[in-house]
Amino acid sequence: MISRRSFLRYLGSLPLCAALGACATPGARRNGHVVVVGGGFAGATLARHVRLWSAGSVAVTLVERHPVFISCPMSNRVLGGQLDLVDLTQSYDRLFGPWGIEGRFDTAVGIDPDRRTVTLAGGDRLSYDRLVLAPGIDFLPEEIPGLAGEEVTFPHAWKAGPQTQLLRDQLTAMRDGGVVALHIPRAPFRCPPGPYERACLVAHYLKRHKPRSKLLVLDANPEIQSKKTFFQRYFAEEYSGILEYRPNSELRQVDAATRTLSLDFETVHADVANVIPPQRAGRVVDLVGPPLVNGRWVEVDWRTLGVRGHEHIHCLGDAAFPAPGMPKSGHLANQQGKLLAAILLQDLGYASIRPPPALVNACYSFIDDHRAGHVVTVFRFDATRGSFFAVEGAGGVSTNASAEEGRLAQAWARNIWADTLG
Amino acid sequence: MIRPILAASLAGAIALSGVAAAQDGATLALAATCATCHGPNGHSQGAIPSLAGRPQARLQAALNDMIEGRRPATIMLKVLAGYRPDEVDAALAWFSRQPPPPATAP
Repeated sequence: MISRRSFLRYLGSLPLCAALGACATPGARRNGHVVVVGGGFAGATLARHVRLWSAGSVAVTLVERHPVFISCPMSNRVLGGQLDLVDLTQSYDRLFGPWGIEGRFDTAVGIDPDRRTVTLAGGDRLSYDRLVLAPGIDFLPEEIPGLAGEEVTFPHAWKAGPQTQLLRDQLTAMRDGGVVALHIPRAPFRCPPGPYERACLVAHYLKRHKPRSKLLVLDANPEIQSKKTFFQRYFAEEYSGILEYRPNSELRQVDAATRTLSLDFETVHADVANVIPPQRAGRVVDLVGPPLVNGRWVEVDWRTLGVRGHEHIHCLGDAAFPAPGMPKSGHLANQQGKLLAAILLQDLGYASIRPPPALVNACYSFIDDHRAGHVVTVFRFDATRGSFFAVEGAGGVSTNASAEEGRLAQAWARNIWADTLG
Repeated sequence: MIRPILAASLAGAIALSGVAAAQDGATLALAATCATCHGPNGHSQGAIPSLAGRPQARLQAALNDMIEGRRPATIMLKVLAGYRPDEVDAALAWFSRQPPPPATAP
């Protein structure tokens, strides 16, 4: 239900009406009902574009656990003190109101692929023609002994929200001269450059406000996982006295009572310990029991984003096992939302809607309070091989961070939020 | 009740649109992949340029200026290299047909 005021605002929104106008061929329309589980960058973008491109003729229900959208992109800037959590927080009102998406703040607790129904914790049962699983990631803290249940002592802050604020508060409360530890799990994890951007922004905060402190970056991987040369440069040029990067530093155990982190050959005591746990597809996918690659990520057919072995069930975003070289990013989740919206509409009889020929990933990382750099990749669909592949000769990485790219990064954030949530 | 009115309004928007719709179908998702950076329908907030409602020739000239080094490009040319010229033309034509952002509308 939308308020009268927001509806009038909708009526006055010329671009929106015009956008709805430029839609599917009238007359070639069939109705259907798409149920989406998860309202992040993937699920929300998909929901909005199914409504947009079907001119409102395909019903969409979106099931989301959280009452508001909180953006992971830009959340490292909360840790650095450049933004507050409220700056990343968006209402679902625009998505659920003007776009006519049925929003259900609830949790899926049962999926019956034969009857095509989703049961919600609140007791309702939704029937679907197409089901889309867009749950993002869940954590596997049990893989590090001592970590499970200790996310106050060892905040992950890897899903933006209260955890982000908690880690920020721990950083501001820490004495000057303290030790901050940042643990990075083995790849793949959500947002490959994210931990290294975080390292820069935490180090920037320490350099300014607590210059006798240290940041230990304990990376389970043998090297920096994204924008390697770029981050290496700023680790050395800007943060050499404060930031210490240690590759091949997989956590073997943590102890909450003493806030210690055990590696293979040493134990680190930290004043603030940010432990990003290993990750897997959001557990809601287990209701379907799809094939999981490495026991963690949903295997999809990149022709359709269909879950292997499950007709009419699709999966996208961070939860899906990626096409070669695709990172788990908000940008690609948004792009995949449009890809799958087009695929579903074609499948539901909207023949004129064509899937995009390419998907782009663009990701900005800040290295201090105002300078950023990018990585960008273009993936094109290869019909012969049935998947997307990075285009040689396209894409690239910034050599330098710049204030100009810092401004572009902020515009990118505002635009992707609007493009995802309406 | 708001919903029936909303549905009627959506239907009206479709009826009004009619003509350009079929040709747009092939370009909608292509153009939408630009919108992640350039904003929904090419309406950008902030330092990234809006694309909506600008003449196609002007949009093409801006790209040409980047290619020739007369206009700074950070990621645009790296993205452009992944697209065929006919895809770029179709996307630019689509954006040129969209209403300009409210702030710059006459």
